[in-house]
This record gives sequence, C-alpha cells and structure tokens, in this order.
Amino acid sequence: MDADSDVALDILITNVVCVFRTRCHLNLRKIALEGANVIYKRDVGKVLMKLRKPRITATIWSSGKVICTGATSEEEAKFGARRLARSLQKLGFQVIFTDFKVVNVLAVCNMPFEIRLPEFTKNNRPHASYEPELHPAVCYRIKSLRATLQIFSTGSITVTGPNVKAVASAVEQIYPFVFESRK
Amino acid sequence: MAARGRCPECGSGSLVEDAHYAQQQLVCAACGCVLSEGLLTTTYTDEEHLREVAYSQSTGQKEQLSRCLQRGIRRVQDLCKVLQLPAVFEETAVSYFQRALQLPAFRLVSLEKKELLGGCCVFVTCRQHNWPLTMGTVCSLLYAKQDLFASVYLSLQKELGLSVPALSLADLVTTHLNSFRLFQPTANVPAPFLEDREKLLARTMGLVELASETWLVTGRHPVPVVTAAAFLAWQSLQPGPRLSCPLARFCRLAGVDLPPPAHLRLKELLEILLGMASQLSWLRAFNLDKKTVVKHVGDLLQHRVFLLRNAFSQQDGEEQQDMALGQPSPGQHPVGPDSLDQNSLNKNSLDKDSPSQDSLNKDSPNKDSLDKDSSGQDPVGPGSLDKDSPGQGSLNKDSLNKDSPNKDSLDKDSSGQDPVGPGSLDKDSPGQGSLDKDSPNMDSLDKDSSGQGSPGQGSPSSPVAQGQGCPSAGKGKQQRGALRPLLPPCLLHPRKRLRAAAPSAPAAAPTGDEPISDSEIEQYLRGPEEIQAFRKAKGWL
Repeated sequence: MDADSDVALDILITNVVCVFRTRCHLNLRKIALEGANVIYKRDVGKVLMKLRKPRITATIWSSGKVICTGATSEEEAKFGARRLARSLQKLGFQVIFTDFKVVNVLAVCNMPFEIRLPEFTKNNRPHASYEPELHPAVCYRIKSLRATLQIFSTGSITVTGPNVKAVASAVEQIYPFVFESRK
Repeated sequence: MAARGRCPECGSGSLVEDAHYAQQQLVCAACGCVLSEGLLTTTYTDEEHLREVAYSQSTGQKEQLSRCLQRGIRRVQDLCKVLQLPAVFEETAVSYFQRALQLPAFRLVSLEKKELLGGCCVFVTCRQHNWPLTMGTVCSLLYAKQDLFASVYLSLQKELGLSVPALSLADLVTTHLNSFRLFQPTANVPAPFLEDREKLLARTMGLVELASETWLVTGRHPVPVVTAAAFLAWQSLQPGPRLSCPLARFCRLAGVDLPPPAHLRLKELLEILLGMASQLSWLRAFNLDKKTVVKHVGDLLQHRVFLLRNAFSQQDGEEQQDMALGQPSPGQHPVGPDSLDQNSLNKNSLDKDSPSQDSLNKDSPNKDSLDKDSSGQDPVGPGSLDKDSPGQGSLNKDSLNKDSPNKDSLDKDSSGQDPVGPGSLDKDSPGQGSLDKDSPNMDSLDKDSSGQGSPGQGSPSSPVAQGQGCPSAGKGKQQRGALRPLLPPCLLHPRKRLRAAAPSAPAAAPTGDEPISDSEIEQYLRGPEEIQAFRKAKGWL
C-alpha cells in the first residue's frame, strides 16, 4: 500500500461554531424570562439558549450578536442559527438574520495506523511541534488553510479549521506525511 | 593609539585612551602612567543645567537598558549559574532574551511572564545544545506554573522562529539518575539498597529503550517513564532485598519526586516484560507474575529484539492497515486479532480453516466457545450458537462431540459477521465459554484475550464466561499467550468508547434553508401562564 492509493478516511465533524447578527439590541432579561431552556449569565452579560433540534447551544449577547456551537455540519449550523433567530423574533425583537458565518470547525479522523511522533516531528519542522511534557500530541499548523492538527501516536487526528473544506483539505495534506512516519 | 607617542616614564608605545567615567584619559598600558586627562567638566557656562555629562555616562552604568531587561538578563545569568551551564549557553540565552524583549509580542505582558521568558530562553538554549533539561526543572527553579510556562515557551518559539530539537531521552536518563542518592552510602539508605551508578544506568537505559520500542514513551511525559524504568532496573539488580520495596519508598530513598504517572508506566512496563518472559524458553516452566519477572529483567533485555518479535505481533499494524482502511474506527483493530489468531493457531498446528484437520479439532472447541463470547449474544453456554465459518462449523461439531459438551453449538465465524471488532480477539482464546470448563488449556488461553482484547465489550454480555476466564487468566498468559499486538496502551485498554463510525446520516440532511414553522419555535418559548408562574417563583426566591 502506498500513500497515494485511494483511501477513504472518515472525517467526523464534531463541532461547528458559527456567528450571526440580529441587527437589533436584545433585552437579555426578556429572553431569560420568556425563553425556555435558557441560562442567564448576568455577570458576563450573556444568555445561553439551547435548541433541541438541531442540537445546538447559542450564546446571545445584548449587542445582537449570537454565537452558535454544537452543530455537526455547516448546514445544520445554519439551520439552527435561523431557528434561533426565529425564536428571538417571536419574542418580539426586530430580528434580521444577517452576517451568518461559520467561524470554526472541529473534526476528528482516525488513521488506520499508529504514528511515530518523534520521527514525524523531526521530518516536519517547523510546522510540527511535539512537547511530550506539555501535551501528548504533535501540534501541526497549516498556515495557508489556517488549520491546526493535533496528531496522536494512536493515529487519531483532531483538526480545527475555519470551515469544513479547510478541515478536509488539511487532512488530505497531512496524510502523506503521517503515512511516512507510520509504525 | 599607539602611534600617538610613547610613554615618557617607561618608553612603551602602548598608550590607551580610557574613559574613567566621564573623564577621558590617555594611559600607558604598560606602566599605568596617566599621560593626559580630559577635563572632568567643561566650564560652567558651557554646561547648561549642569547636564553636560549624562548621569548614565558618569556612572558607567548602561542605563539605556531598561530595568526590566537588566533584571531579566541577570535572572538568565543566575539561572545558568544555578544549572551550571557552560558559558556559551549563557550568552545564547541572554541574546535570545534580548531579542525576545524587543518583540511586540512580549511588550505588554505581565511581569510574571517576563520572568518566565528568561527561563524559557535558558530552556530553549539547553534543548538546542542537547542539554537534558526538563520544563519541570525550570518551572521549579522559577516557582512557575507549568501551563503558564508552556504558553510563554510556545509563543517564544513562534515569535523567534526557533527550531527546538526533541529532548533526548538517553541524556535525560543520565542526568535524572545522577540526581538519585543511591550511589553513596548515606545514613538513610540501607546497605542493600545501594547501587553502582554505571550498572544502574546501563540497565535503566535498556529498559527505557525497551519502553520506547513498545509505545510506552510516545506522547508521555518522559520523567515518569525514566523513574519507573530506574525503579525496575534497581530492583532487578538485586531482587532479594529490594522486591518488597515499593516505588514510593524507592523515590523517597533516592531523594527524587515521585511523579504520579510513574505507577502507570511501571505497570505497563511490567506487562511488556511479562509478555516477553512468556517467550523465553527457560522461563516457561515458572509461573511468572509481576514480582518474579523482575528477577529476569537482565535476561529479557539481553534478548530484547528476539523476544519482542515473538511476544508481540509486529506486523499487525500493517495488516490491520490494509484491512481497516475502509473502516471508520480502526482503533479497535478489528483485523489485528485475526492475524494473531492465525499465528497462535498455527503454532498449535491447528489449522482452523482447513477441514482436513478434523482430527485436531479437539482443540478447536476453544474457538467455538470463544466466539460465543465475542458475539456477546448468548449468555447461556450450551444453547449458544457459535458462529464460525460455516464449513468449519459443521466439522467442529462432529469432531468435537466426543470431548466437549459443545456439541450442540453451531459455529459461525465471528470475524465475518460480528460487527464488534475486539470480539474477534476472543476467538483464539478458548477459555471463555462456559462450556470449556473441562478443557484446562483453553481456559488459560482465555485470559489473554479477555484481559487485553476488549475489556468492555465482550464481558457484559457473558458474565458466566468472564467469571471462569478470569481466575485462570494469570497463568494463561505465559503458557502460550495469544500474541497481542504491540500498540500504545490506550488502544489496548480504551478508556472511553470509541466513536461510532459515523452517526448514521439522518434521513434528510438539512440544507440550512428549510422553512421553519411556528409550531417548532413555540417549544422554545414560554407561554404566558408559564411566565407568570416563573415570575412568582422568582419572587419567592
């Protein structure tokens, strides 16, 4: 088997973070009072609201910015964000759903082999940094994709990136390198 | 300067211009005679506000260095002295520190971080010169928290674009052992506990190398590994009096800290050693356990390569790779165990797959019974359906009938149909079936598989089998333990359930633009009565 052969690696997206604006100020007290599944963090000035379907958690700020986390795809994130905006609308705010964007995607991927981390780090300086005293994984940054990969000796790779596409191409890029240092 | 003339006193030509604080002087370097002096100050009128000579010049102190920088440099120098580093290191560290402080990233940071920055510079320098210094040491010298140190260290590395080679484990072993107080007789170390430094060093090094070959070092903090290896080495050099000494006491005697993970590392090392010992022909007669195996560490290390190759299936990774590529969660090594089975079976000259081997099938009941376990569906022995490859199944049945109660069981091969990866491990280890009681050797095999394979998965469904497998487990391992793959321990004993392949895609994947009905939204909003009730409740609180 060689690195170029066609390999289907499952990339499991575990979290998608997105933000949007409502273009109006939000009365957090009102949301806390009339919304269900809410937590009002008065000291920080935000409200957490959870939706059941899709399962997301939204952080609502009084400025009208909302951060949604917990979705497992970009589409789901958008759907959840729209639902949340709709709920806010129902509460009586003049909500306009704007500036939606996915800001961060977290995914995991299992390589079908173990990886020799010291060797991998040596071959991939300066992108890779391995400090077993700090963290068991090698941290590998791909600047062009703005993606960061945590590569574990077991073959698990955790990827964070600005969107799903970047995450997928980050895994594609890293594969030949980890393949070289496989057990 | 020398061309300017000669000293009238001694005739030497080496005249030196020297600044005695603010005052220029021409001095003979040979005899020290002052030939001429500049004016200490100019005339009063020239000198407005009496500031002709800046204070910093008049004192000879370089005040243009900020106080922070001076302090930091002194810190770095002190640290180097404390660590007894060569002078070159000090210079490099100081220059790193100066460079770092000029960077905007370290301008507006807390004093604490600036102090740590000095430590980071020393640390980086040491690492670059392959000087074994751990973060723990630097942190304890600076009274710093490790996470803060780590953040400063990582940003320093990024900002200065430094490339820091990995910490050399061998060097670390040497320095770490040197800090042990077991080499000279002292009041609190009993005589049998004293050890020769070279001997201990050599053996520890061997153990650490063994550990790194067996995935016990990768991704782990190095110091606990070294501590555990040193402890084992120390015990093995004179097992008699030392076997009863626990790791904690050893560390106390040696005057080193006991890092908490050292116990885990010790356990893992012992497991590896036990696995190796099972392959050493002259140890096979003994029932080795974690205590007694220590006595044979010397032998084991000597034949390390051979034993490792025999005790663990090395190629497993490869095969697994081939097979598992398409599979979502290779973590469980669904394939590995299979290959193992093959090996162990061959050893026993049992060819599972070849029907011609009927006569041998005596042994084969094991497999069958195991399967049951792995599939996890039949808690009751006799009635159980064992799946084996269909052809085989029928063969086994026939041949088995005489010695094993298994007769009724239908064997189905689990590998083909069982979705549970680890379960397949059990296949080769016969002991689990409740049926197997009568066959002793099967039981012993079991152990292995039940212990290492998939702790979580096979067991719950077959409590009976487990109960039986366990007691015999200890012995079984050494007898002819099924080869287990050489893998990082976290894969062999997964603490958390591995993720399901991929949550089955929902029937309709959302596009993000579906219409949203009002009724869906209502579940997230409180009704008017609810709001009233909520207000009231709040009032009481």
